[in-house]
Amino acid sequence: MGYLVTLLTIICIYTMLTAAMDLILGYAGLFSFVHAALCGIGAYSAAFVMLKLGWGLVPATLAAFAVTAAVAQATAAVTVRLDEHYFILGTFCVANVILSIFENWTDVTNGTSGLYGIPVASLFGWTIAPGLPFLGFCAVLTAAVLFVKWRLVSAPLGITLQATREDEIVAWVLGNNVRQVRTVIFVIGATITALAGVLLACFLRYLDPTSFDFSFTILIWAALFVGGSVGTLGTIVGPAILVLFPEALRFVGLSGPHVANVQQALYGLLLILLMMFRPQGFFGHHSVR
Amino acid sequence: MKKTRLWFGIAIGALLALGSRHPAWAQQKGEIKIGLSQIASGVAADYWARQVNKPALLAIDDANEKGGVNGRKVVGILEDNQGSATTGAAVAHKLIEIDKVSMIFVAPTPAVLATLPIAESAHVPVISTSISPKVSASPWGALAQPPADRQGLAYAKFVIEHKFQRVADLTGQSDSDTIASKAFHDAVSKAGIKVVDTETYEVNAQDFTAQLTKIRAANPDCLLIQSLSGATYGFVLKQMAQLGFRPPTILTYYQIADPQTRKLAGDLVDGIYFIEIPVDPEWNARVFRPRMGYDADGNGALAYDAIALYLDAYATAGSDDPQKVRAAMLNYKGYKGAVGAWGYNGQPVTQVQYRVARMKPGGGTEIVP
Amino acid sequence: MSELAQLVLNGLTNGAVYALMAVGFAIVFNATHVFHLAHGAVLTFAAYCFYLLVAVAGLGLLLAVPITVALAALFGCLIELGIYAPLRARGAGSAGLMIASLGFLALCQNVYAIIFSTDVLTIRSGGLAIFRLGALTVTSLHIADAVVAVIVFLALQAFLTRSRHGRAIRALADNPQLAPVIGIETRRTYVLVMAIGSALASVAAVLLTWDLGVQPTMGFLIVFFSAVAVAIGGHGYLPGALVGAFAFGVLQQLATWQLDSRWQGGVTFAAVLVFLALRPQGLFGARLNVRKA
Repeated sequence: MGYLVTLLTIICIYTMLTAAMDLILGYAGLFSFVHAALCGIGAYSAAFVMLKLGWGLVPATLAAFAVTAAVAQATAAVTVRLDEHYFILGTFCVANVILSIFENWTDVTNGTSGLYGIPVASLFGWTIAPGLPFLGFCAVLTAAVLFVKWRLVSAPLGITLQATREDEIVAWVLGNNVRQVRTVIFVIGATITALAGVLLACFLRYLDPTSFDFSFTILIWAALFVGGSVGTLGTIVGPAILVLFPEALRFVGLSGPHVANVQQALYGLLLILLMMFRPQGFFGHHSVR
Repeated sequence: MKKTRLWFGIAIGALLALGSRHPAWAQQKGEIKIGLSQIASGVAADYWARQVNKPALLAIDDANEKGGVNGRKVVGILEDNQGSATTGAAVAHKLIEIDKVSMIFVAPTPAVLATLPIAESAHVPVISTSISPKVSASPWGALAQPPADRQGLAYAKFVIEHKFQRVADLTGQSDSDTIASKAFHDAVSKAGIKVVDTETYEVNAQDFTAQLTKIRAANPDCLLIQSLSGATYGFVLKQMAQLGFRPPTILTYYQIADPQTRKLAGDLVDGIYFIEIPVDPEWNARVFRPRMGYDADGNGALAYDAIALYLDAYATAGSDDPQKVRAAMLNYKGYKGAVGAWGYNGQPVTQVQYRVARMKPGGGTEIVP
Repeated sequence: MSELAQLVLNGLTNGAVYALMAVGFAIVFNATHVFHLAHGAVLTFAAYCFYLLVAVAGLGLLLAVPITVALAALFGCLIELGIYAPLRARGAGSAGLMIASLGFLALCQNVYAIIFSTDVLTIRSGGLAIFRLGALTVTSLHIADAVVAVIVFLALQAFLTRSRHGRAIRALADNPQLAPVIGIETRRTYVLVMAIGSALASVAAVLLTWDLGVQPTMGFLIVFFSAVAVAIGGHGYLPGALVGAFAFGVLQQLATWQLDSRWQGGVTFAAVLVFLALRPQGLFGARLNVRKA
């Protein structure tokens, strides 16, 4: 039971991250390499507040939002005005700086020894026990995030974003402040990843810098492309496939030191095939072009 | 669209059906299952397979050959935790709930620390070859690797005994290196020895020229190089040669004796001192090498012993109660294995000590008394 | 003072290898607008070829190097013909091509790990002959790296300015819409560009493998460093990539000067960010890459 609950919890958290990535990449067309690092900032901020300051979940979450949004704002200020490919490099650089901070600012993050013993989440005095109650908590928050996302993209903001993604010059000529719209969505997306980070901290009750490296960002990209960008169902299906498939493989009795390599090679191949034959993913409405 | 979903569902169903033949699901009475949550992917995968996963599985095979635990067969279930906390948590749940393991042997640190809370609430003992003090602090944990500060003190002992005046430290950023480095600095400073320079390289770095340039400028008489990887030692030594820099004495960790290092650095490794886990050469020649085709290093020996001692102790526990088995393990006396005679001596940390050795010119190593 | 000079020298020698990769990346990107992350897979492919030719087949350098370059160029052509061209035919834009490129890099890295294991495979062991200039030291190989990088670059420039095919590449880079109109065979030029870029990567691979051996993940970070170097130099100007690479190499070294070296990565990339914020067009960027909106 705990195994399935664990997997579902991970899927919820990844869904939140994929939804945020959908806003940034799917709708706004921004290839962000700093996604996992921003999640880490949310996670570490919350963990610091709960573990080292001894405060509760609500102030921890607010701290996570504040710090991550600030970092996202600063990142956007530098990178959003750059060409599409500079955005990738800009966010790559920011991610490296953030990872370096995670490893070296040991007073706050404990460096590579990690932050262990993060308290079990409790809200207004009620402990959210690990297992099914925590899964329920995550599921509710994930549903809320998906709802907020749906409202955002149905609003004029969402339509403007897609316009800027398709042709930024035309969008600009038509009077949209492209830079501002992109910054807003980037910060909103970052805040969602911060929430996912808080949940991750409460779920694992342990954080270390290697949890937020580039392979995690690439995993979320893959989840988005497999599930399909610009859509809600895709942001759930993508993570579900990418979490459940390798776990299912455990039961097939494959063994040997290179099973994981075969698996990751297949992911690479999957990305190529998706772009070739199904660029909108399983359930997406927009072909990544 | 519907067709794709249908095919997908069939594929998953087929995989799961195939999976029902997996041994872990077959309920055998009286078997003792050991969970191995280790690295099987990524940069270190092949080294890990050679010196952690296979030695652990070998210990299980050997136990079975001797009749198992009181006649009961031991089954090892190896799962890849990718070195990650998230996957480590999923693996822990899977091993505990689905495979119903009696014990989890887990590393590296992110996976262990994600496993601990889960194992604690499920009352499953955890044995680890990571060095995190959180493992020994847990009522269900046991460290089968000497903790990192013992490493640092071993380095310091060498430096103090040889009366070096100007030591430098090139250290990595792993938790092991960080803790060992701090213990080293504290002990050495207390003895009045000057640490002229400390430089840190990042995880997965392959270029150490900046760090080495700065150390060269500090002109140490003894250089401590900390790393957990033979390849890193190879690169460091080559880049030292590139800078024309060779301090009179170099002290390292036993990974300097890994074949990878000599493949890269050639005879640059000659004469280098290192601290090592004392692997029993007789055990290596009789038990390990014939079946594996290569020598066990410190990690291989510790992995083998961690499992073997646990199983030997289990046989004496007289019960399946995990708390009793763990207590039996911590108090087990008279075990002699890959690292010679050792025990936990009642503490959740192995009592194995490091000793100093040296790389012999032309190949091989010699113990330094 | 000599510490500082040695750091700069280290940066220049590291930069030589980055330079070959960066120019290869730039030439592909400028002409085809693909963020060619698979460039890292080409580097690693060439490295394994070189290893097999020298350490396993026992061929001398005189044979092994040209064969490696040829194989890498072929590999690049296959990537273009097998992945990029079909994707373009299906309407994929630069985003889709980049993702496929990333997927191919991941695929290759893992295939190499399966075939060759994750261990480092080496051709030779031990140190290299060094030269001393006062308190500074540099190895013969690193001098060779720098010389080779410059020579190769000059040869490339000559090709691009003097030969018909070279001018076709530049035309395509300058104006992709107009180039076919004046008779430039776009698809064939793309293949040529990929071959050249891959050949450059193979030279870098030979130099790296000779000293440090080969492992499956060696391409991943280097390809991102090349992309950063190209950004520092400025898009659209090939010598910019060369200069950007040397600058990046030196920056990595200087990031440890007077600072705790554990911050090396953080300082390096923070500096790159500040530079890009202040001068988004890079050192020599002819085109402004600031979004007008």
